[in-house]
Amino acid sequence: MALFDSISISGTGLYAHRKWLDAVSDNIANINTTNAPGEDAFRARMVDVQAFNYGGEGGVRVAGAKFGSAEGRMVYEPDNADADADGYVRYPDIDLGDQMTQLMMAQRGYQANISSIKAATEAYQSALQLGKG
Amino acid sequence: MIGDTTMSALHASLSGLAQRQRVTADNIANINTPGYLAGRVDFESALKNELADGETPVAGRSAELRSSDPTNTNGNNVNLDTETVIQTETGLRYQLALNALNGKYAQLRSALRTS
Amino acid sequence: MTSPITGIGFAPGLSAIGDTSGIGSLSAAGPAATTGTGDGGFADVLTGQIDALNGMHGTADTLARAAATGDLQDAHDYMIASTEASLATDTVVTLKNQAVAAFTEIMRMNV
Repeated sequence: MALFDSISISGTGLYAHRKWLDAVSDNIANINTTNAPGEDAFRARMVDVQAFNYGGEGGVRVAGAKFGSAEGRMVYEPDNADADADGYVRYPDIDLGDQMTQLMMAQRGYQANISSIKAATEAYQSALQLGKG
Repeated sequence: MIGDTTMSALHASLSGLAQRQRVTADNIANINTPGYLAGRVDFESALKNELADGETPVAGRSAELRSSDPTNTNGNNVNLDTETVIQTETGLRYQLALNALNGKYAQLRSALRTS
Repeated sequence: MTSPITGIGFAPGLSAIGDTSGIGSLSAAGPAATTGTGDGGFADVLTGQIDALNGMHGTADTLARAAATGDLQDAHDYMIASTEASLATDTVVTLKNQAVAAFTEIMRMNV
């Protein structure tokens, strides 16, 4: 059903954007997380999406996650508990500005998919009134 | 027995609009998918040609094309504002076609009542 | 069974249905015009209309079944088919009633 397909396609869009929101929130929450020296920095998570059955059924699929750099960035903080022998601490390589932009895009995309579902529902309900009265 | 060219045209337009709604939902779900090109549905050209030739339009699946709008850095060319406008317009046109069809049915019913 | 009615053609009361020039949708002489035998006549018209009507109910039924199994492409397809079948039924019933009324009136004359 063209209109029901619409709803399930938007459903996949909701799921993908929610995963994106989760990843971004996680990145932002851990922007200053440091680990013990010798361990990797917290790696930013990025969601990898693909079109589901491009040209066919449609929708989007979360294919997996990609992770950012494990190197992080080194900051000189000798007083920090996680500082290494030289006084450097390994912070995650996450840019707050970039993450905030992504957050807004993910939110906007999520809301757009919600209106898609609403539009399909309204169209379907109106079609059911065809021929009545 | 029941049905004229106008009613067939309205039926064809309802099918085309529903397909456009689906393709737009697909575009919106894939706003951030790398390499994804926005889909477009064109049923109006075929419908206009059929009506101009005096043929009875047939409701069915119309051709789906991929938009040739410029892409961004990850190969995606979906523009959310464009898709939102298309979605709103499609919904309104669908309502209009339903109303037009209901109008035809009401005329038929009143002709039956007065006979 | 066609002989009493054959010579009548359309009864006067049917003109309101036949004369839907502003609508153009109801064609009481539509498909049946080609299915009648050489003598034409109202009975053939009515039979043709009933056949068309059965076809429309069949279509609506098939779509209803598709809707039940989740295979239906568009909701409006079923609504259109069912509305058309309902209007066609009303048309045929009206035609039949008008024909019976006209026939009865004519039969009353031959006393």
